[in-house]
Amino acid sequence: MQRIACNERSDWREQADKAGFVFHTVEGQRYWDERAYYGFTLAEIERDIEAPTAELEQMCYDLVERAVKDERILRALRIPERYWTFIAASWKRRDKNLYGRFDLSYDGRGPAKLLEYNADTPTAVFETAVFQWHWLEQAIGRGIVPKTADQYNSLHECLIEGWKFIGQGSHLHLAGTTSSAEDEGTLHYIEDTARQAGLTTTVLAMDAIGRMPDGRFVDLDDKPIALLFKLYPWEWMFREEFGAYLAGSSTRFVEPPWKAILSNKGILPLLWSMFPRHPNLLPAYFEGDAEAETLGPSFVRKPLYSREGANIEMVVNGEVIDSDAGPYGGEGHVRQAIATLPRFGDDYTVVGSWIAAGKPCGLSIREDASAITKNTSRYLPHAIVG
Amino acid sequence: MKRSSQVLLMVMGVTSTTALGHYLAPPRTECAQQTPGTPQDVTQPCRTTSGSRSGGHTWWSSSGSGTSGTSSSSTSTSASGATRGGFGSTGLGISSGS
Repeated sequence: MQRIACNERSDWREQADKAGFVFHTVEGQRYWDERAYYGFTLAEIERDIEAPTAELEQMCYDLVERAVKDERILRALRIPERYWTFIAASWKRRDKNLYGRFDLSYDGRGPAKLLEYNADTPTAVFETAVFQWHWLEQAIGRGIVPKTADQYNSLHECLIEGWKFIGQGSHLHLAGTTSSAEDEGTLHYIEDTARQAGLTTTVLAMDAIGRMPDGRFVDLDDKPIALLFKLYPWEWMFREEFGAYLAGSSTRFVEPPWKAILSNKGILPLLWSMFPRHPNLLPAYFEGDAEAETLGPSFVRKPLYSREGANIEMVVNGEVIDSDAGPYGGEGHVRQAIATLPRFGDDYTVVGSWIAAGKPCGLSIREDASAITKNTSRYLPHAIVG
Repeated sequence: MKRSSQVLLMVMGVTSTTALGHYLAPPRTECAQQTPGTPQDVTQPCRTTSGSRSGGHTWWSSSGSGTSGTSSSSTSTSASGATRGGFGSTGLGISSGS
C-alpha cells in the first residue's frame, strides 16, 4: 500500500458535474481529491481487505443471531424494548440487506483493524462505485496511472445484483433527508441501481411519508409503500412519531430492521467478546464495564449512536487530544483501543471496505488532518498496481 | 476487477429522470470477461479473486429497554386521511449518512 502523488485531470470538476457528483467540493474545500491515489497489490486487496471483510460480515451475522435471542444484548445496545420483536421478526424472515461499509485501519503491513461498521446508512457510495472508476478509466487513458492498473470495485454491479434479489419487478420508494446534497445524491444513485435491476421507483422526503388510518405507509399520491429504501437511521425512526407504527405496517425496509443492531457502536465490544483476539478486531468494551480499565488511560471513546465521526473522542494518557462535536452520546459510549491511523503523507488515512449483496466488492479511501474521520474528510481514489 | 465495461447512469443529477452520462471502459486486453445481460460481448478489466469466504450461513445464498421517547414533530392529515410528518424530524439539518 502506498500513496502515490499524481497529476489531477484538468477537467475533473466538469467530469464530476457531468456525472451528477455535485458534492465534490464541500464548504469550499475539496472533498474529491485526485492529486494522489493509493496503490495496492492484488495480494493486499485479496488477503488483507476482501477476505477479512467477508469474515467480519459473517461475524456480524453471528452477532445478530445471538442478539435477537438475548435481550441483554439489545438492552446493552440501548435499543428501545418496543422494537425488539420488530427487529427479531425481520431477522427470522431473512429480510435482505443491501450494503454496508467497514471502516478499517490498514497500512499494508499488518492485519486491517475494524474501527466501525456503517451498516445502516453508508454514504460515499456514488463516488466509490462510479466516479472512482471513472477516474481510473481516464487516468489510464491519460497516462496518469500504469496501463495495467486495476481497481477493487464491483460495487455498482453488486448493488444491482442486490436489488434483483430484493425486489426485481417491484416498485421501490426511496426516502431520506433531501436537504443534504450528499444524501440526495446518494438516494438518486441508489435509485439508479434499482432501476437497472428492473425496479420502478419513487423518491420522496422522509417527512413526506404518510400513514393511513389502516396502518399503511403511503407516498404523496397515497400509494402504498411496499418496499422502502431509507437513507435515514433506524435509531432516528425509532424515536419519531411514526416509529410506533413500524411493526404494524406492511412495508419492507432496506436496510432491514435487524441492521439497527449492527449500526450501533456497541457491536465493537460485543464482537470482541464473541471473537476475542481476532486479528481484525480491536479490544473494545462498554463504558462502565470493569474490563474497560484494561485499556488504560488511552482509548477512543465512541457514542453508541454516532455518524460521521461526531462526538468521538481520542483520549491519550487521560487527556482528550482530539474530538469532533456533535449531537450524540446520550445513550452511552464504548471504549475501543487506539489503532492509530496510518499516515502516508501529512494526513491520516482510513480504508472503507464495501460489501453489497453479501459480497465484498470495493474500497474507498478517506484522508483527514485529524485522526477522526469526518464527513469533510477528503476522498482519494485507489488502484491495484502490483 | 469486476466491472461492467458499460454502465448507464440513468438518473444521477438534479432532474433524476434522464440519462446524463455513460462511462466506457477503455480497451484493455489483459482480461476478457463477458458480463451477462450486457448488450454485447465486451472486453473489460478484471482481476482474479478467490471469492468471498463465508462460514456458517451465507445470507445472500440462503433461502432464505433502552432510551426511547418520541421526538417532537409537526404532523398533518390530508383529505384522504393520510397523516404526514411523522418521520423526518430528527434529520433536519443533519446528514443521515455514515
